[in-house]
Amino acid sequence: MFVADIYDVIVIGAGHAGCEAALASSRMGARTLIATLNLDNIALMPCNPAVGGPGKSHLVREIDALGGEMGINTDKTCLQMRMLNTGKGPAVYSLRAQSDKKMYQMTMTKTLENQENLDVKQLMITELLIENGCICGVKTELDEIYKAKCVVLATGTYLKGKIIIGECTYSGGPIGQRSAEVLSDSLTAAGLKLMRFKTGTPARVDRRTLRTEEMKKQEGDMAGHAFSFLSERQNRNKECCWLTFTNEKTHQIIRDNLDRAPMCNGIIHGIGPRYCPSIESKIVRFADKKRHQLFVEPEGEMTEEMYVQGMSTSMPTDVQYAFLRTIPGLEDVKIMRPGYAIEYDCLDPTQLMPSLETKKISGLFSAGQANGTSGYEEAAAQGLMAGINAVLKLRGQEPFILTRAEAYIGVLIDDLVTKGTKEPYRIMTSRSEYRLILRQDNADLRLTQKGYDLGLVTPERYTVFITRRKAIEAAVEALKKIVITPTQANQDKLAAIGTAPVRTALTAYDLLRRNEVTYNLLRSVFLLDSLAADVCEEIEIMAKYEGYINRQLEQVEKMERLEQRLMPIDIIYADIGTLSGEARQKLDEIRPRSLGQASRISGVSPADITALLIVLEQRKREGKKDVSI
Amino acid sequence: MYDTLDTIAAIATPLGESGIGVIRISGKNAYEVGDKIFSSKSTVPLAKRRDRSIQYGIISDEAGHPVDEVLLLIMKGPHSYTAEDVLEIQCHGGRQSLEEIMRLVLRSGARLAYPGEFTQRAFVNGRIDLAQAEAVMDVIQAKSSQGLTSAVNQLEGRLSRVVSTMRKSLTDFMTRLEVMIDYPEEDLEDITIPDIAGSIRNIEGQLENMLHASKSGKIIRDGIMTAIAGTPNAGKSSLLNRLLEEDRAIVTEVPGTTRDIIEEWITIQGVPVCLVDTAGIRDTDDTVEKIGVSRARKYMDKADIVLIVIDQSRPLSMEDQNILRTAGGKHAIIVLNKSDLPCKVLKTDLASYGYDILSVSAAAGKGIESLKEAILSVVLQNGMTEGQSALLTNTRHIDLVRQTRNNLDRALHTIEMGMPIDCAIVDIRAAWETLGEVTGDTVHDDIVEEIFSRFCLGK
Repeated sequence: MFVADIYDVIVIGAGHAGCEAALASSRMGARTLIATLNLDNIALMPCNPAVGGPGKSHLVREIDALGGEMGINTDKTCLQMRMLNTGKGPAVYSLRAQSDKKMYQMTMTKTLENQENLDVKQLMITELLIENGCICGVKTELDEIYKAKCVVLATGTYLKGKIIIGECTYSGGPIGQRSAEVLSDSLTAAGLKLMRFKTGTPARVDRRTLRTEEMKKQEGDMAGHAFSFLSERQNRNKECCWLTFTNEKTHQIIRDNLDRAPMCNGIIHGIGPRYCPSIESKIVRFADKKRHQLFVEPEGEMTEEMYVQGMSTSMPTDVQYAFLRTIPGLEDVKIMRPGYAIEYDCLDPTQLMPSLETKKISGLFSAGQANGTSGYEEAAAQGLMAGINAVLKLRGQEPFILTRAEAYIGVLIDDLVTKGTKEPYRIMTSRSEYRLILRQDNADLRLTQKGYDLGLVTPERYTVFITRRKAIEAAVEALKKIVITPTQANQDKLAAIGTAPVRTALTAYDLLRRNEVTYNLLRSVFLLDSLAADVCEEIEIMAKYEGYINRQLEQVEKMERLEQRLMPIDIIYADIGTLSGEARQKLDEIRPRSLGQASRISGVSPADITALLIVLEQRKREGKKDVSI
Repeated sequence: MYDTLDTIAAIATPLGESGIGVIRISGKNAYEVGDKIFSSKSTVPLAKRRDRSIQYGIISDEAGHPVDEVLLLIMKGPHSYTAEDVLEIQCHGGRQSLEEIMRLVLRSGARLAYPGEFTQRAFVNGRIDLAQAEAVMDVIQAKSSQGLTSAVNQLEGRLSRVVSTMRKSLTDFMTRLEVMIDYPEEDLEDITIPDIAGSIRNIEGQLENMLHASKSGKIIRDGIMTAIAGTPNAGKSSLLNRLLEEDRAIVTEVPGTTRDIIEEWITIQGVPVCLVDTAGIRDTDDTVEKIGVSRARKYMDKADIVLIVIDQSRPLSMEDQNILRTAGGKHAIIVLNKSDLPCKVLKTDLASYGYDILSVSAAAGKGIESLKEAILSVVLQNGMTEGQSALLTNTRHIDLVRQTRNNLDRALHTIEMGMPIDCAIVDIRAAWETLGEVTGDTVHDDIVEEIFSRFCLGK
């Protein structure tokens, strides 16, 4: 038995979850190994060449605020950025970047390779080593052993990965990679329950074969944007995308060939996501829709490959060719890589605690697509949290858990471990109850202090954060000190910036509450300091939405009281006669961390929560010292 | 889950029958709530008044109109049943005043207590032991699984259908808003601001109608108002007594003995029924009786059902026919009383009025059960619960519907002020959740499910 090395933390997989997990763990000082099947494919983007969008951009900002890498890496390597939803309110503003896939990978690889405490290796892990219910290391296909007290699974779609294109199927990971054929069995043997999910991608086509004059050009915003709170806001327009639509002919070809669609003829068994269905599913499920929109997006500056967003498919290549060529702009298109579906094993996430540690095996954490999610951002967010919690576990400290009121990361993980998922899970802003609080603009104000306390936030980032917070506080204070009395001079100034006169004396802060008033308008007529764009934005949102934000804060306060009542680790739900049968079973399965989490389990009623409250009270009176999960 | 820091309130006495009614308020804002609606000679805030004292004064509504004169009992925590600050309002037991005071209490910052919640607090705050608390829990659990009586069920079933329909349109509409936000680049029809406002107004209007109907005091909340009409000595009072199974009205052989209007409550399969024994209707010179007669006619007008009692042992009189005509247009049941005596009334003479005809003997107690069933079936089948009038049967539902309406009102205001849609959704979502509490299905994931089932999205 060859023990190759000993680490504190081993991360299996170097996708978006793995990278964040390994960086967090090593940055917090733990000796860390990141193992990947292929060193050339670190931080691979096997699907769309984009980062962000509603809910997802919120995750990226949160990862960044905590000291993660995704935001910085995206800023360094993007081809354009657009702010979506600008007309719908600040809570749902969503930044989205088109990424240069290769640059994204290379930049991330460089960051990993230069990270102190971190070893990057190409290894095929075949087995988890477990002793007395605790993880103690991993074994590779070459029979090397790497020991560690904590292991983070970040296996993406590689566990027993199976590629399907038409009638052709083979074992493998995305885009010609190897799959991990043996590790799944080690998980099953350890008593973990696996699910089989499916996802898919569209064809990549040759840029030189596009008729761009037939399509609508989609450029990035001219305004300056950035994901990271550390990056300059700048115009990042390098490449454009192209918008076009399917038509009746496209649909007819797909309908005529449905018997050859693996989705329909029984070749695919895995459960796919409803929110990113293949084009064949769209045609079947939404038969009355006359056209579907698609974007043709660049994969990078150094390649002619273009991604046909909206046309994910696993049809045979002759069918892919036939339907693509009915679409305006794609009449002469040449496919460089066909679209494919991929099936893979993943964990049922209800087997995890909110720290992302498995309940069954102490020290084994899991993150990303391995937990049944979908999306780079969802994966990265979990990776970061798993990495942090692995280190806290080593140190014997309490896990770091974000609540639903603190972050979309909290929403994401709470949904997964409390409710589980029956299809690849995607974050959406509508999954959050407290959307007005969890904005992307205030992610740093919500989280950077926590990241600093964890030791993840660098002094540089902390200084930027403190400076920004002080600037915001100072600006608000200054605005509240300026009193605008109804003098003629003042009324003239107000008229000049297009807002109604004041009837009684108001502060400048009060004026800022008005819809049409911005800080810079006020500054144009009153004596105010010039402020950075992000500071203006923050105080304007604070002033204009204060009433709504306060209402949500009240709701949060109510919820927090339940979150703070932790469930004792030794509670036996089966013995609580006052619980309903279903509640007993569900509570035993999920083993919630808090009363709040318990209340969100389906099948647990308010009466059941009251029963739990009584049990907790009883234990308190019996003088038990409770230990929670 | 019940929030243990809220101030809660509930009516503590059975509705409708007792001489006095008690409303109990518990929680940190109990006295604040009291101060908002109670006035007395002293202007000292209730919280500052002596523990375990009784205060006399008036409860007034928002407009300052007096609602009832009351006694307040102040029991400060921890020396109260719940170990919190408790305020008890003792008022007159009539349904009307009790409900009105309850409404004011809820408006002033208390929320309606859930079943067993006072006891739950008593336990959590250490006032009672676990055995007692568990007994209460059993009751709560039993209640949630126990079926209600069939009549109430039918009505609640209708409420739940109506609310479900409304909630469905709200779900629909929220889904369209959410999908716009989560999929901004999809090729979807955008909803315009006037669309949104229109949809909100529409649902708000329906809620308003329900509330309005519940305010004018309808069937189940206030009971089925049943007037017992008939000529003097047709046996109205004996019938009433039979229905009540106890002697309350004075029964004599002298025509016109019942001069005052007597209101009594019974429940038929869980539905409260208010029985009003009217004075015998006939032309009279007796002044006192005259007043009684005119009030009787008024009651007949107001009633949901009229029981026309006819003494079948005498031929149909002109007065009988008068009454039958007076009841025209009302839901009525002809009750042929004294079925133990030979029948001298020709049923063919009655058929033309189109009412159900039932034979009873109030004296012998025959046919009473059939009569009760007949009253109920008239309510349930004849659209007595017309429109949505009777749907809001209890204070909890009324409270929830009012909250929903207020939420939508705020959302509309937000939109009209030109605020972005993510602000309006805060209140639209709250409305959707509150409405779900009526039917018991507030599930957050519904919206996400809806989005995927209705819209074609994705890469």
